[in-house]
Amino acid sequence: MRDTVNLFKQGFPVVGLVHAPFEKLARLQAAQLGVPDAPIFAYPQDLPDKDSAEVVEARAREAVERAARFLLGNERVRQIANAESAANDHRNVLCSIDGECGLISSVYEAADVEAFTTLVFEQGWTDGFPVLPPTEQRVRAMLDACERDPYEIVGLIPPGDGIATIEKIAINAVMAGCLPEHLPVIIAGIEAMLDPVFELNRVQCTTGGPAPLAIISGPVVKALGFNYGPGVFSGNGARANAAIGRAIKLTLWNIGLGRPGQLSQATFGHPAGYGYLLAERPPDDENPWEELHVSSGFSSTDSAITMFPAGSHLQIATGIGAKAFDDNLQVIADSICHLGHFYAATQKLVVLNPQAARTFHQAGWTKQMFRDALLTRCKRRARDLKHIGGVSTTLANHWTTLVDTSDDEALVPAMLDEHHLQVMVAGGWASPSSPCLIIFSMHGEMVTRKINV
Amino acid sequence: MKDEGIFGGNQAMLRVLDPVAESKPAERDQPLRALEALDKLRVALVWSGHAATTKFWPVLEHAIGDRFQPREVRRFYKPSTWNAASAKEIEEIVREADYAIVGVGA
Repeated sequence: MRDTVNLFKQGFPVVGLVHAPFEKLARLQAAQLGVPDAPIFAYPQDLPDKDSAEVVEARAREAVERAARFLLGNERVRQIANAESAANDHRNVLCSIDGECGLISSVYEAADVEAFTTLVFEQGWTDGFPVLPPTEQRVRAMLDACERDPYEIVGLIPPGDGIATIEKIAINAVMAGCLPEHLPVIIAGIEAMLDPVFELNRVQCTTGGPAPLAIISGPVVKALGFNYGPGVFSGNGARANAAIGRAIKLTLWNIGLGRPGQLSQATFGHPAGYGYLLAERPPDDENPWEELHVSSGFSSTDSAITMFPAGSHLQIATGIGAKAFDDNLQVIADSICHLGHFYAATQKLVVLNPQAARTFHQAGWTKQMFRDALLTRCKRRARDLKHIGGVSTTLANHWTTLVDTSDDEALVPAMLDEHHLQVMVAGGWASPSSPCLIIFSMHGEMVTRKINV
Repeated sequence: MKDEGIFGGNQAMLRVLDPVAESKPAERDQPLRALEALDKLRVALVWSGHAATTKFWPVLEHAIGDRFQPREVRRFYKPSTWNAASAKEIEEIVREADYAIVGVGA
């Protein structure tokens, strides 16, 4: 869709084809990108394993005729688009800053908290949870704690390409219940997600329904009071965990407009979609291995946020300490290698509890040794993977591109290298079952940014 | 400054800021390259590579060839179904083709 829009904006004759179930998404996205009449047309969804050759042929011939009608009729569509573009010009409020007006966002009034809550839902400013009123006083206090220009543009957040200014991020942070000192963490998280390797447009739109996981590491973990211990993922009473995770979500909701049924087509969505944040245990509190951001090249004195495009979140019983290391690794490798996630060599994050990490560490295992042992084991034979279908073969590192697919015995890696297998320590002390977590990237890769506190 | 309380309840009227961002306005368009016909032109075929369309897209390409007898066919098969083509790739299409067919959004 974006390619069609980008070509159309340049006056280039183009037509885009879309499967019928996604026509609404395509049209909403085109409108949001300022081209409500982008030349797109829908046709019935392909079912490659079921459609006969005759059906496909007829569908293609019909598509060609429709494409021709669009391409040769572009001028009328263009005139409409020009009118829309002109009408949109006045919306560029960033060009209308004057005098001492300071904050430039529109102001709404509500008689009381109940009226405000009604307004929030009427305007679609929340995904369901009530939020705090983003009054100018609160937003200014948030901005005062951050040495960034409120008008500074951090980037355009897809799929709506909303302009993410520092001011807009601060407004959403206030709504989430953040403290002013939380804002630099949120901004760094947004910057991380805008790195193309994160594939934020996909994270926001795809039927797979991933959720961006924010991972906090370094001195900021203790400084801001993040919970990195028991119940680290659940409601654990820590404001930093809940509010910052929520602020990132609201920013994607209100600036990126990744809203289900509109620009997001998530089939199920993610249970952590309201806010998904994990703080890593500090080195002086039961984390024997280097922290995640240090593994990514940052200093141990840096504070960092890592955004991980998380799909599934799988808690497993590894039995670390109760069984031999070989058994432990086999359990983790088997959990990583299940068919439902083996369409491509994608990034995985293994979260060990402190009991598990200490057990390996005391036996002389380094983080690198642990990763290498898993990388060696996380492979499946090509014959098993031939059961997989429905996922694009053009994905980077799709399994069919990694081995000779005619060789049923070929071993296909679940991850390409150590960058694709991240390991960290978090959570509370574990029982002999030693629960640990595996978090699967749906496709993009994690990005780490230093937090400027 | 007056304390607003956690819900701003001390104020007679709550004045709140809009959390929704403006969108980037559509860029001013270039003049349309008007087409009188599609025969014997240079066509760019931009394929998302979505798994569901691996059977359809080659048939579509063949049908386009039959119908319009393009002078030149430039295929842009995207490495990622979900990422937009880069500005450089868009420029290349505009420079090296007369029209484009993009698909499939799925």
